[in-house]
Amino acid sequence: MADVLRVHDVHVTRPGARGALPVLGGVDLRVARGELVAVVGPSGCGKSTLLAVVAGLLRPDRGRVLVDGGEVTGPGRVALMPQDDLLLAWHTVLDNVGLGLRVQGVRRREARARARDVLDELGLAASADARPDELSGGMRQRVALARTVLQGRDVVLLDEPFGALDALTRLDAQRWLAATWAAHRWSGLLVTHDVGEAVTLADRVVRLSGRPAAVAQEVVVDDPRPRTPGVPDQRLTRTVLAGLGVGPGGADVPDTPDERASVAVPDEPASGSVRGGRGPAVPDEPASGSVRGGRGPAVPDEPARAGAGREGG
Amino acid sequence: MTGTWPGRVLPVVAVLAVLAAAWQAAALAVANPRLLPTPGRVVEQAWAQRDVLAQHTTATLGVTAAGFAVSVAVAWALALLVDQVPALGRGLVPVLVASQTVPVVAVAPLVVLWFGFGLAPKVLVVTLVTFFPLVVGLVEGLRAAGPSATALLASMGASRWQELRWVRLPGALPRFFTALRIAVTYAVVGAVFAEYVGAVQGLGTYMNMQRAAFRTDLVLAAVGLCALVSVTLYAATWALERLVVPWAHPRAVRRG
Repeated sequence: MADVLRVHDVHVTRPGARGALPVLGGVDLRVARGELVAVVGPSGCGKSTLLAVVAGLLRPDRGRVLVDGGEVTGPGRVALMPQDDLLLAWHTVLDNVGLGLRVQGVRRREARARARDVLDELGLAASADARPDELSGGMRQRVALARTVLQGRDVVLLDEPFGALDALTRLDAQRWLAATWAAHRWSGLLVTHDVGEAVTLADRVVRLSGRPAAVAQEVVVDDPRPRTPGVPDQRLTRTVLAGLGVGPGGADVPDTPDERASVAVPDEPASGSVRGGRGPAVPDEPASGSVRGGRGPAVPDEPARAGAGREGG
Repeated sequence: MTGTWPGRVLPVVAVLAVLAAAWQAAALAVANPRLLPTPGRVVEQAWAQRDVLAQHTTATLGVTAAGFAVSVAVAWALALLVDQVPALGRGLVPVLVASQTVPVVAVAPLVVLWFGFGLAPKVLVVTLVTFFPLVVGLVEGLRAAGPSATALLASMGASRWQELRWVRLPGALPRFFTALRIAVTYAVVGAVFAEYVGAVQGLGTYMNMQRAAFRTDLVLAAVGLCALVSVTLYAATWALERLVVPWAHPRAVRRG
């Protein structure tokens, strides 16, 4: 299959407090048509910068991004789903979903009709006339995805799409995304902190090194579909986690055979208390993103960061 | 808003009743209606003078409306300028802030001196005292959408104008209306003050005349009318806000 997206040797340096800061140091990526590639990496490694470059919002200092063989020189070639849903409070769901079309100059009536169609297809028709503040967090993310795919671009970029959801809602949203993606076979990049999410949703997982980021590891997810969100393939998960410096030999990940929760890549040292231990604790902070506590292995922070930060940089 | 209709009105009525009772007690103790008339006398005299008072109130309302309209227009123009031309904003904002330190008490007579007794000086004074909260509210409102919304719109290929039209202008409205409610109460005070300094009609002029005639009861009646006008305008902007930006007051609580 032809590559619909090629990122070729992209370098980005950004101004920092203490002089120029190399963020991306030669990133190479490819996404085949119909493929979903997950990008994981240590916090602050430049995943968002990479998305900005692919979206055409930031010109790389060196290297090229090709969509469908044509070089990306500005925005408008790919569709971005940002971390916050960013639904406009003054529009109905229908008009939010049609926003991309309106920006492209499509008339309101037609934009609404096409928005209604895509909401139908994604099973969201019942929410079409609701206002965003009437929706749950999980529903808002689904609507945001509808807005993203309706733009009709060749590539879809998902930036931590479920990062702000609580654990159960997140699993539900992942299950929905897996089914929807299987039905439509869009092509895209999925940036995530959650290795379990990457392994259950993507066809391939690409791990970036610490700054300046480059591709440090690539894992083909050969786990057959349908997969169960929340129960990622353990062998693949461990492979990626080991690369991040978490796991046997890297840090203290319990070796129990029936690990069930998805394993989160540690985020901030400050958020790092080990929650839940091994008991059947219910995660208590819906906003904290990745799945913590539960029954599975809580990942300690410090060793992980230390390991991940050094490698490949 | 929470609570039922009587639940909201009763506390207000109770507070007013307590204040009126205290006033009544004080007036009876002073026992000099020229110094401090009773509330009953103020109402009675206001009713007797209702035609004159209505005429002056209408004049004040006209000044307020004209001045406030100019103020809102100036505020939108300045806010968009500050927003779209950051360099200009950096130069302009300190001047705007400084303009608020100028005492209106000192400037208003000069404005009347320069522009005479017509509508112009009063409109100018009302604009001076009201445009600042409006500009600040609008500038902050236009920035409220934030960089991630800008990035999203840019990723869609939106122009600056499209971003402004689709995201930033509607996003600025809630703060604009908050500022509008604050400013409209200043507007009445500004209009009355401008009339006080020099005008042929209006509540400010009326107060001035009645004070000179030692008609404390009629001065207080005019003060009461000013308050009534302010509260009415405040309520009107509140109602307008509900009408224009209903989404700023969520009906449902967001879940999970």
